[in-house]
Amino acid sequence: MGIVSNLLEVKGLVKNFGGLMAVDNVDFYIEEGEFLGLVGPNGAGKTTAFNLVSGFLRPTEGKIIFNGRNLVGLKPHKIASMGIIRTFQASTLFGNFTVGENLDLSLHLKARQKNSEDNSLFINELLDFFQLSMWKDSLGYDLPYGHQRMLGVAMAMAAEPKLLMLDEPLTGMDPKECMDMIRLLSTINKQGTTVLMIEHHVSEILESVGRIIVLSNGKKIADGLPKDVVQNKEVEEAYLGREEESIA
Amino acid sequence: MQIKVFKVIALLCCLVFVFLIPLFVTQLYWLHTFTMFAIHAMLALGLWLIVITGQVSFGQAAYMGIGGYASALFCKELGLGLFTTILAGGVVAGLLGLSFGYLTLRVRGAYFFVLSFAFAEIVKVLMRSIRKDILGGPNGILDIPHPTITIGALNLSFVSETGPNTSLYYWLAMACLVITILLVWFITRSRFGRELRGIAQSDDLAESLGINVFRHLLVTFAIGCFIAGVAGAIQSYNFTMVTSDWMEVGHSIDQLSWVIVGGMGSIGGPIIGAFILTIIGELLRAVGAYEPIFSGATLVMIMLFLPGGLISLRVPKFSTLLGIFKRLSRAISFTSGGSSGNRKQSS
Repeated sequence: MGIVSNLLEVKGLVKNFGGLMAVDNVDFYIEEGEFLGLVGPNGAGKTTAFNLVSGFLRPTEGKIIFNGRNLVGLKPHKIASMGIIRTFQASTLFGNFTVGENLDLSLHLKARQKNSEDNSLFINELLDFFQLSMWKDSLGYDLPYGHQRMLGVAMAMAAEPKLLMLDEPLTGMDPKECMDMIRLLSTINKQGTTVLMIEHHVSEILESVGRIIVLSNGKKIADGLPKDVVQNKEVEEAYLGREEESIA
Repeated sequence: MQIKVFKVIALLCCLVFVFLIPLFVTQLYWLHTFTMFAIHAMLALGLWLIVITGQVSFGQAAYMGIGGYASALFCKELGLGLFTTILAGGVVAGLLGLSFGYLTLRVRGAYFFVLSFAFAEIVKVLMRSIRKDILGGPNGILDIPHPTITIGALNLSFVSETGPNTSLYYWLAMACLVITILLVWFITRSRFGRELRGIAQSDDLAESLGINVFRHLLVTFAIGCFIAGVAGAIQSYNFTMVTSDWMEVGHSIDQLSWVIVGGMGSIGGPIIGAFILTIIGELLRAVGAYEPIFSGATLVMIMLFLPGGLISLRVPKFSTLLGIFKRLSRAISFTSGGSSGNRKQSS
């Protein structure tokens, strides 16, 4: 068995907004090729942790090591150029651009290394993979919601990430769209891309992820295999509340 | 392909027509007005380039004034030639824009709008109050000499015995406008330009895809200020003076009006806006102090009823007009044929 290295290592991560401790001394890691789920109830600090790793927020304390380099203090575009590409819950695409233009813009990091013919071929491959070919010339805003989310992931993949960070990509999707998305993400992961995905509901991602980290009130409360995490008493309490609180 | 060739030929014809205007417009007043339109269109294009990134600068008049002051100083103090001083005016304004942008472009929206206005006011007051021996205080720099350019054996003087050579000023301003249009068109059609439009839609998303949003905004802002500086330099030669009054907030409002009235959707918008409002401004001179009421009303009407600006009033395509004509002629021939048939039957 070969040695699996940690692609990302987060140590003692703290983010304090005035009096509110949004992320409280969180440690976690991601191994290369892993599919990791980051779950937790509303306000658990999942998106804040994402913003810290991707450079949109600066941590109050802690280290974020990616490929042996500390990311703290680097600008988001610099972190993106190192191979960490993230998606957002809300603004997933450039609505006034066509699907093709959205993908073309997402090639920013690669465009200088490839000629335009290579870029077009790559865009067509992505359109086929994400089943968006028939929408190529449609404006982003005109796409059905599920396809908009799909395009958001396709755009992130266009940047050829080493670590793909997805912020609740299943939000607002119907069950079929959710299944399609999870299947695609699993394929992406099997093809070698490391995936870190935020999800509100544990059940949605149980089958696909290799490991789950649970945050609650900014603290890490569980880290393990999906089957172990769902049986974790503390996780159950975080989602359903303590017994005495429920009775009260 | 044929349409492209047709478009290029049409554009070239327009260009030739524009450059031939001094040969058949005999009234110097109108020639001067068209020169002012060219300067205004450059200013509008410079601002539009900034606006498409999602930032609105409310202090472009300051960069125009700085361009005018710089070229006047380079001309009067150092004796540099026309093209060098115009370029120098643009470079100084661009560098000032680069410095201001470096400090302020991290804020967006209303914050940047207010900061740009405040900075313009500071620059205006400074130009009025420091080094009055060189900058002329409130009067500004006067008596900028009319330039002379030498092309081969040809000596072209911008002044004759009867007064300034209005045609040469017109050609100079139009040539600079054409270069500005080409520069802005090239930028907006490039990958960099598409990225600017992406930044305007979602700067966070653009940044997350590896685009250095701050650098893009800074470069674009500096180019916009450079264009304003060049326009100011041409105006200072045309007026043979430059004053800090050019930096008044009213001039920044004018520039915004040209962009809004023309429309922000394409490069044609600011040019049309500058043209219409320059002409309207001249036509309304008769009403004197009431002119701003009419200009303001025009702006309000456009924003309410034509939010896309005048450019959104699409002229029907040639093929559409041809189709309508064919359908009409078919209907007319059918009607006349049908009625003659009826007459036959009745007889």
